[in-house]
Amino acid sequence: MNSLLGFTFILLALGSCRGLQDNDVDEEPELVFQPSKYGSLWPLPQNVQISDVSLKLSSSSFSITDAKESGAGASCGLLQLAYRRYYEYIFGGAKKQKVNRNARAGPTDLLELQVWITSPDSECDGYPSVSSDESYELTVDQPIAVLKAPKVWGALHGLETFSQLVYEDEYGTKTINSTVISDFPRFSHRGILLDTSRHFLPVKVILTNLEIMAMNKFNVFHWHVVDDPSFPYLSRTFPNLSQKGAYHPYTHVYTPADVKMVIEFARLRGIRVVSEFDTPGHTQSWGKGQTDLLTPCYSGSTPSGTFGPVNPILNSTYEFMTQFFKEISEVFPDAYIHLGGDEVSFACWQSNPDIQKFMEQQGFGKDYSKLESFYIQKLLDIVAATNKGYIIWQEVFDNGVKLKPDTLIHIWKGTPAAYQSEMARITSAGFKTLLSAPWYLNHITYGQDWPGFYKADPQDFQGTEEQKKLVIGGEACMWGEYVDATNLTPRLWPRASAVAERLWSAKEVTDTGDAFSRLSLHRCRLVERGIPAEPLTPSFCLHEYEGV
Amino acid sequence: MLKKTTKKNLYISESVWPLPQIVIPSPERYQLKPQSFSFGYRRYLDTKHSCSVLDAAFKRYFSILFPGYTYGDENEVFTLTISLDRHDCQGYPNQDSSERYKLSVFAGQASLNAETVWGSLRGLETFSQLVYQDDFGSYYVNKTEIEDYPQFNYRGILLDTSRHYLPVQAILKTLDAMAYSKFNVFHWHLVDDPSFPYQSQKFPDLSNKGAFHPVTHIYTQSDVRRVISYARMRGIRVLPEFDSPGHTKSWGKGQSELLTSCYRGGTPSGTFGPVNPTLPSTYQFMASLLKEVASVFPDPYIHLGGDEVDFSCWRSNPYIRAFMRKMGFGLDFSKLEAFYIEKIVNITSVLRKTSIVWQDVFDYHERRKFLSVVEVWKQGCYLCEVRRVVKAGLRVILASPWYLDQPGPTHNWARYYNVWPLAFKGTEKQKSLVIGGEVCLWGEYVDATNLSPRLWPRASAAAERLWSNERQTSCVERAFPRLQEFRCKLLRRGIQAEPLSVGHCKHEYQSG
Repeated sequence: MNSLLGFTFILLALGSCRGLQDNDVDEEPELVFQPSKYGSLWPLPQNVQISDVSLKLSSSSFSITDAKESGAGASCGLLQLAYRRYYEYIFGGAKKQKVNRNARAGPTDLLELQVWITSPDSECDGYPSVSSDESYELTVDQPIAVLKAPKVWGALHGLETFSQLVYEDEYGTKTINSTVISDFPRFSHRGILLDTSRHFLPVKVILTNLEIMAMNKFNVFHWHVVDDPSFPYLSRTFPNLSQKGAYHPYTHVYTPADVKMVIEFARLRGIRVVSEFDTPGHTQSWGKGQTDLLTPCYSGSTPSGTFGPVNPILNSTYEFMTQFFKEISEVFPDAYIHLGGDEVSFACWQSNPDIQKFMEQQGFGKDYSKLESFYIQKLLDIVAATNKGYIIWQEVFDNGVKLKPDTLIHIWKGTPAAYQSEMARITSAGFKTLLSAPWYLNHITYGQDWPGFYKADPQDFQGTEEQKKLVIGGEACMWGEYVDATNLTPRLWPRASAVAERLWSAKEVTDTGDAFSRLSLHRCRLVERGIPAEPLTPSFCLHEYEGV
Repeated sequence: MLKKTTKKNLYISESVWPLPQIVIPSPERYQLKPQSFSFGYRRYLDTKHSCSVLDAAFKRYFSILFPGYTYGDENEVFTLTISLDRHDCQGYPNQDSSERYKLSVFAGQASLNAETVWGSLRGLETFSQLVYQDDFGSYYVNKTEIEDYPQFNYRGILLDTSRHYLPVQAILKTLDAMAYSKFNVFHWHLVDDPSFPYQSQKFPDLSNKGAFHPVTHIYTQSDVRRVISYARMRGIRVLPEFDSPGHTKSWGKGQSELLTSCYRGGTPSGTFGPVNPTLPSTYQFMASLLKEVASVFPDPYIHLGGDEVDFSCWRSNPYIRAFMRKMGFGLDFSKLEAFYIEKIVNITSVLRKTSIVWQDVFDYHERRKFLSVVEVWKQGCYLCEVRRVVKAGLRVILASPWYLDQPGPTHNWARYYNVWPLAFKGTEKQKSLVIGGEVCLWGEYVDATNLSPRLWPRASAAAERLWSNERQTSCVERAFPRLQEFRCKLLRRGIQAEPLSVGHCKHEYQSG
């Protein structure tokens, strides 16, 4: 299987080096590159059998086609675009040459990958959802390889896997080994959070990262669109929100066309776009374009001129939210909206006499978390009326807000012990949950930190089998305080790839040594595809990053 | 948002980074029009022999000043006139080059005077940072008088092309950004344990066998010449490092018998240690290689490394032990190391080059007279070490506080700013031996994919420390909005400089 090392890579096991000298890196057993029997596959499929029989692919004779029996044919634009994409990945961007009909196919040539959608409804024109079937079966054999999937979503993953099986032999010939794979994800929600409020991310950067997500079989783009610093979402109903709340009303906004483009680009790669509009905290930028939405803070008996969280005591707040979320529910096709609800500071509410009066009237006493619950409750009803499901950050659950049973609770806080017991609590209350706590990739340290991300298992907590089933996945978060288009991609990749495998592959896939070898090659593949994914160790890729 | 407030609170001239020594700002401003702006030489200069370094700089800075415009040739209304005391454009910048300049923007004209062409390049950079656009897109420059010179003559950036290969383009891009921060030395840590990408004319096997790849992952002679010439055009020296006797694993692949065979029990274990200092062939090889290096790299300095030599392999080898006995070194292997380094330094002096070594060489050797420049890199009380070195009468380059390969949120840039290289007890003469400092970006976890954002704008914090007057730049809070502005300028110029905190630039980085 040595020849599988198409992406030539060398690990140099070195002792001390200047950079490391004065660091307290906790010395993991040193990772040494040893070719994996699974080549460069990432994330590792559920069942893989790779034989020693190798087949050649020629850019002039190889093609990706629809199987005759397929439930999706030439009319399925999603698949046709994917065929072109993967053809170009496989043959290094070489434009498809005219098929040379006269060329004789040798007995060791692979001529075709047939894609066969087995279900009558391919979902080609639909959107992926949390319950989408993403499974596929791939058989690579002479002279034709077959990719079978019930839906297009599985076919997309299968195409990526197929492209990962192709390598260059020592003469540079594209080669693939005869292989049988059947694959499906361990978790159905595998997300990346990007924060476009603390720094604006140009649409192109978002699209690039969606592309990389697909190469890692991520299927949810959690778009933390707005927050305190800026409001780049251009709302048709309330254009003032971005007019006044964005960093710049034209250059630093996402227009409806931009949003549509992101959603469609994601859909074509089997990725859902889950938008987050976080309230009642994290809303400073909302206040600029929507008067009376935020609570005026007081110093002593007079307004201080500053504002706190959303004002939960005014009817106008709820009228605004009703209209706003109506728009959001129409703009974003996904069945879920993320409503945030984290880190609400009570100081401003406490300072405001009107809020104090309201607290008394409602009998909340001094317990401002009751006021927060009051607000969230009403918000959830508003969003429920749009027929959307919702995701909320863990505080909302911690504060005892009454939640609909189908609420998805997103865990982001604390040490492993803390988040594991939180998961136990949430699932024992019967709620579904998502894990992000161990995957805050905006936190960086010296050296290799991916093994830590890799080892965190979302089902690692005290609970019954039933409880564990309530964990539907996780998300890697890249908060934007120190991240923008200049450093996002190398900071995210290949570190997020570690999370990708944890969420896709079988629970038993935990060998960091084997993972290191595959991930090193996977990283070189990303670089070869033009992605600035940063290095794991002193090493090289045959094709280095050229986009400088 | 921050941008607006800084605009209001700052004179444009205050946003020049690194801060010039003397600035007299004024609210009076002159409009610049791309079509009628020009650079010119003072008349008495013989224009038939115009200066290629400046001609190229005019072209660069014109598109930096007026992105998207071509050099206008309408009647010239605003001219930046350059005069040089010494009209020498052919040479290379060196340790003693004057970088002093005087820039005067006055009565709708600008003049830039410098002793050398290198000083005029620094002045052009400053001028380019003084020009700004108002909200309607018109270009302006304020009446300003600036007199400027660097605090330290050696202001370097180390890139490591051994642990990861950096394509030439990535190096050139870094040289561009270095010029924007007035760095003047590119310390090229060419080779090390992992790979030997320098293609030697005399010893092609070094890269044939020691590079990651013998064709795609090497620096050919023409690559090296290109880097040196590109750097020269920007007033930047290229200081090559050939680190030995440790950090040489990759050398051994293409040069047999250069490295020491390590022994286990009574037999060679098959692994190799540092350069073998007991064989005459070693010194013949080193003399030959260094002779080539001395002719390829025009800089009068060569960095010889000398750090982190592991003695265990030497100790295991019976021939080395016999040599030790013969030389009367006892069991003190640092004497053997000193023996080696001294020979290498002597070889270098014969080539009329000055050696720079890492501090280890100074620390472990009793005889220090043969040394000239010591680079301090270890953490801890680095100023204590600086003091020891200058007390011994040797010159110092300080690198310890500027190890930028350690990532961190960019907001820790202040760590690199709050560094006071002269804050040790010593005479004026001793302090003058501190010739500068250097930002090190070691390559364990850095390659072309993440080099730029990891380096910029944090390296710029060090740049100001090394260029500007310490007293005028001692306050992080005042530096912060200026650095924010400067970072946005870097983005505008296509440098992938990462953000310092929450916020935005008018022109965000557009690629990727």
